Amino acid sequence: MKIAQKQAIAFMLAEMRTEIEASRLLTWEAAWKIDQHHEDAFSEAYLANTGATDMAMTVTDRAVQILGGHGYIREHPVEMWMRNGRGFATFTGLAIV
Amino acid sequence: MPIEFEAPKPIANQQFVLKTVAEEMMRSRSRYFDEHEHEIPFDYIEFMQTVKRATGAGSLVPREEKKEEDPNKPKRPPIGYQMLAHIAEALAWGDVGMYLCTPGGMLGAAAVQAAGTPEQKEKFLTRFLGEKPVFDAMCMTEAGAGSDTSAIRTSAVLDKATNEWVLNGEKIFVTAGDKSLTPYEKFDNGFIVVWATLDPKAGRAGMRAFVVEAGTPGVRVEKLEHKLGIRCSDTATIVLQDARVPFDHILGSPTIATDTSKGFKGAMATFDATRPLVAAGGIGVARAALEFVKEKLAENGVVIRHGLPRQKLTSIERDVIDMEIMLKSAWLMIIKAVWMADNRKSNALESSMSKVKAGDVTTKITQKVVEILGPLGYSREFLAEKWFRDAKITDIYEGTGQINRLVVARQILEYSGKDLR
Repeated sequence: MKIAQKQAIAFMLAEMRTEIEASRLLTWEAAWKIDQHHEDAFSEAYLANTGATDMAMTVTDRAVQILGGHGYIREHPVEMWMRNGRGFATFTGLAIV
Repeated sequence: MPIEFEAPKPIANQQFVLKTVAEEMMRSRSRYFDEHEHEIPFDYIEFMQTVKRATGAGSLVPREEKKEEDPNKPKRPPIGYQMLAHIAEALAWGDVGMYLCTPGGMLGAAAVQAAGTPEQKEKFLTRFLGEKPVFDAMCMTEAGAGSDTSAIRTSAVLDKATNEWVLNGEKIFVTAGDKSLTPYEKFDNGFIVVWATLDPKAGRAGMRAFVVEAGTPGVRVEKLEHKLGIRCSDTATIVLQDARVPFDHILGSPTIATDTSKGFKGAMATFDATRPLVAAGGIGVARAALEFVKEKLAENGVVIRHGLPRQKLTSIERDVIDMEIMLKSAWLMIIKAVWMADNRKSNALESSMSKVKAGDVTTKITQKVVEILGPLGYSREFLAEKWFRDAKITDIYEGTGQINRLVVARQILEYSGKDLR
């Protein structure tokens, strides 16, 4: 039996996909609001940014966890994505708005 | 295709009316109906029937577009389900229990809409446009079959002598079962859609849905549940004892009546359509709670400073911002799922994801709101504690959070029900 056939793993994958989708839609809406010069473009962009930085950490952490030792070693890129994901919380991306 | 985040005009135009109904008819009596479980909000129901006849508002079944073909007029994209999501959200913001009492097409009608033939739609759905309110219900769950619907044991046997189906079994947790079956003077006859098996050995492939009219001999409401929340909405146990229904009350084309080799996708098709709408109701409750706590914080001089880095925010600011992120992104997932349903795109993944997310965020947000408000949150003086109780149902009915996670996982892994149980 594959590990993805276990609910403990499958549910994590479902949640990861759901969180990515949630963040993506919020980001698209924020971008659309900036294009429209919408009055809450600023706060929406802030929410999208904050949400995405959290999401990136949750999802990459889960990915490392699911792969176990294989997620932790540098032979595979997953631990790198987790490290790279950590950077977003410290970037001052909001300067562009 | 360009992405559009503006609500279509017909939807935007009705927001004000919905808010007024939610405030005047629902919010003001929210506490009363919470404390008087099993009382029926007749005046809300009758008011909504009038509104519904004029506008089509409130039903889980989108109105068929009128077929007036004017070649000069540009074709508008279909927005039926999107409209319903907005209505569910706005009315649940008023009171979700009362919203569930909105007459004229809930889950039973949604099943007829999703799986019925044109003749069946004509026969069962036109009654909702009459003068008196009509209710309908979906009977799926049994004492021995919850999320594992293939374990359903209610049976349907064809009596060849009379060409009738004979139904036997007991259904529990039927939303609006009482209003659909009990002959209240102020309502017209409703119906229930009963899921039964033609062959218990066939598992899910043997399952079919039958429309059972109110007043059918052998059908009775056995009891009504007392619940944590959505107390205004009745939850019934229904017993079927040699209940006879005409042959053509089996949902779908007649050939599905005999061939159990192929499964009947009707139930799942219904869920794809209704899950985002149920999720939208949850979002309405969460928005009510979030708006309330923001109002109370503002009254107490707390300003939420959007734009500051996390480390400069107070704990309450972080909580409020996190709740805003959850609420907005969950809502967008619903809008995407209903947009896909309107445009006849397969939305099993998006529909279940929107329900997973909404179940999570409505329970988290309402719980956090109770926490931030402290004694005010826990007290029955305000509605925060009630919203906290109401919210939890979002993660349970129309597929629990776990079942929807299963559906999502199967979709993204391309697994069958056998690969991932």
